[in-house]
Amino acid sequence: MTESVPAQTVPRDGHKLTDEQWFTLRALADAIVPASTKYDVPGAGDEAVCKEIISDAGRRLPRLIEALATLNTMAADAHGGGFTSLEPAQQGEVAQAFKEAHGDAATYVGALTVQCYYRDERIMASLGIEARPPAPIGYKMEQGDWSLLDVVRKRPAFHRPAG
Amino acid sequence: MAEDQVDVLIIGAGASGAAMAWSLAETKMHIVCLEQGALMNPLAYPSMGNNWEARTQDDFATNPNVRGLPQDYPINEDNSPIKVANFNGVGGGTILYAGHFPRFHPSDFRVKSLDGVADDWPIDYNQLAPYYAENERITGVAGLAGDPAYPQDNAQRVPPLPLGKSGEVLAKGFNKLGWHWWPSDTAIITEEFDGRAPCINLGACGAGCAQGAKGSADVTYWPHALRAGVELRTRCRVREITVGEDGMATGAIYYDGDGKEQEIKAHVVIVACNGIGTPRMLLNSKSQQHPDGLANSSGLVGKNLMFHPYAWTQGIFDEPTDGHVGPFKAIRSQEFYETDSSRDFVRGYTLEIQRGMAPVRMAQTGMRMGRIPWGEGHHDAYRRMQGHVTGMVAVCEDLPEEHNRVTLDPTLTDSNGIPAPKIDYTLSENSLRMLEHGTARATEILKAAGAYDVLSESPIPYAGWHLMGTARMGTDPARSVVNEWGRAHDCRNLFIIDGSVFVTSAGLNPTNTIQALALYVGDQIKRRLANLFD
Repeated sequence: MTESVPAQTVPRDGHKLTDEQWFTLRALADAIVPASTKYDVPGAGDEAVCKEIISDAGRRLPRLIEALATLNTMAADAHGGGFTSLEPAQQGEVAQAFKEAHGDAATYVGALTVQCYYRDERIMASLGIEARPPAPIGYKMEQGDWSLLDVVRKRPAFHRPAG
Repeated sequence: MAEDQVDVLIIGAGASGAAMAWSLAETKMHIVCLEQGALMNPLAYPSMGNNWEARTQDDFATNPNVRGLPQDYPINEDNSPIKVANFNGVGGGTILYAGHFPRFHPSDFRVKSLDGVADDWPIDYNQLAPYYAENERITGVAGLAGDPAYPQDNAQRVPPLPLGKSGEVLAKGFNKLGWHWWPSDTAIITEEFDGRAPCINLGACGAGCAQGAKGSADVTYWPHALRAGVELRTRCRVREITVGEDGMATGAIYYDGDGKEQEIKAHVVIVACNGIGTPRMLLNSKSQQHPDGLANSSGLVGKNLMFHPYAWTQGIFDEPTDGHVGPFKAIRSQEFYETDSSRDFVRGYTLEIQRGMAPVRMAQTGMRMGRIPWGEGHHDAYRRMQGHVTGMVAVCEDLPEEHNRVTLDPTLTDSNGIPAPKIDYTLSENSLRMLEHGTARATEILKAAGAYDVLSESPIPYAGWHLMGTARMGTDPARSVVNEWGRAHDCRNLFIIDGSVFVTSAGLNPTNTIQALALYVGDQIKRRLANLFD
């Protein structure tokens, strides 16, 4: 691993990740949502997305850190090295094993990852969704075809007499 | 400290407390409402920020144990497959509710007579009908008259919420099968109403409506009650209701926003803390006169807890659905609402359409249900689902059983050291069969509508929205906690007005009935003011 540790590894809420935790998080997030040339989107291991992940983890950051430690242990047991040292195929294999063996932790990390990924404006643009909060502008909605109700209108009342 | 003496003390500023405050305001009595949460600020609602979906799993999560905010009390729900959903603030659970606002059916008040299970209510639909109408007039309800599943009513409605793409897709499915559907009565206004602006389809109803279009009690009843002189004290958490030597309620001891203990005296005490908070409050109010908890000579305080078990079923379609846009609700079906002797369960359920999912929820749901993988294939799978999913929930009637109960946890407390509630709850065989039936029928509808894949979950764990039955209403003091007009059998100046007093749960959302009951009890109090304590 030659990438330098960015200054932003200290998230806004004051928690710190070690270098190993930070790069493990990025690698795991990429294993969950990889980059796609087909859709021209980065993976969830993107630096900006991962900074959001740490920020969103907030008071539950210890749970994230524990999950990363478990993942590294599984990587070491399977391949003799930390998760970030593995080839992408090996990372995918360990990530799947983590998901199967540690369902609650994996669900938590997966949910946290996508809650940050699917609000990033690059991803939203690729999906054709405006990257903005719902309020205060709101959205337009079609009324739909109300003539579909005609058949139900003709139905006799069927509520049950209560005596 | 000057003596804090009022005429009426209301504990809880949610759906029922708000309606009661408004109802009694015309008496010009000195009315104080104590609320452990804060007044909501719509500008701070999640939908004002890009991270709004994340906040629905954090400070706006439906489960108080997940939120863990200072105004929340923890709940030991380890022994329940259904977890509590609530909100502590002015407006209570209506801050987060979807606004589905149906009335009970007439048959819902006669369960014992009609089906031989549970009990009949001591009041009936016709007695409550004027209060439903009044509640709908204050709240603002979108819908359409003429639903064949209901008797004719005199409800004042604004035009229904849009059918949208999702409603249209599903309506075709219902029509193909010849099954009932109708636009939902929903407390979301589609045109200006009582100074509030109409819905602009934010799609974030479950995290507070920043537009004010959703009829949460903080924007419906409270502005009127406050203008009429009701005093609302926020961040005030009641520890216990106090009683005198004669066993009558004398007021309450509470902690103010600074954590200082305060005492308030009142001639009348009204409890409006929901089906979990109310029994907790009564059980925490033990005294020499009420050694088993206030108003608990029947032993039924906390017992007969009812949720609505929910079965969730969604379809994936080739054609587009509404995705993240629009209010959650569009249409409902009550094809399977009333008891049918050919089925293997009694009572029934409402099928309530859920419009679609916002981007994050779509990803999380797809992964949880095994449809969106980690790694390769993630993007293709996600894009097949995003904006192409819609479905429904079956809201199943839960019957009262005494072993389903709220007690006080022996060790767990809130931030003020007040014992927290513990829930013991199991699903009955009747509920399990009903859930199975609901899932099967919903699957049929989705397939008839063109779904090529169907996802389901039953019961939904984090869906204990509707908290009922734990201080039931009845005429027999040995079999109920309050009488037929909401007054405690054991304490003649104590009233209970939230979902605790429900005798049965019906198979639909209860807020309209909770508020109609509060207005009904309010009217009973006003009519009897001269001899209220006789």
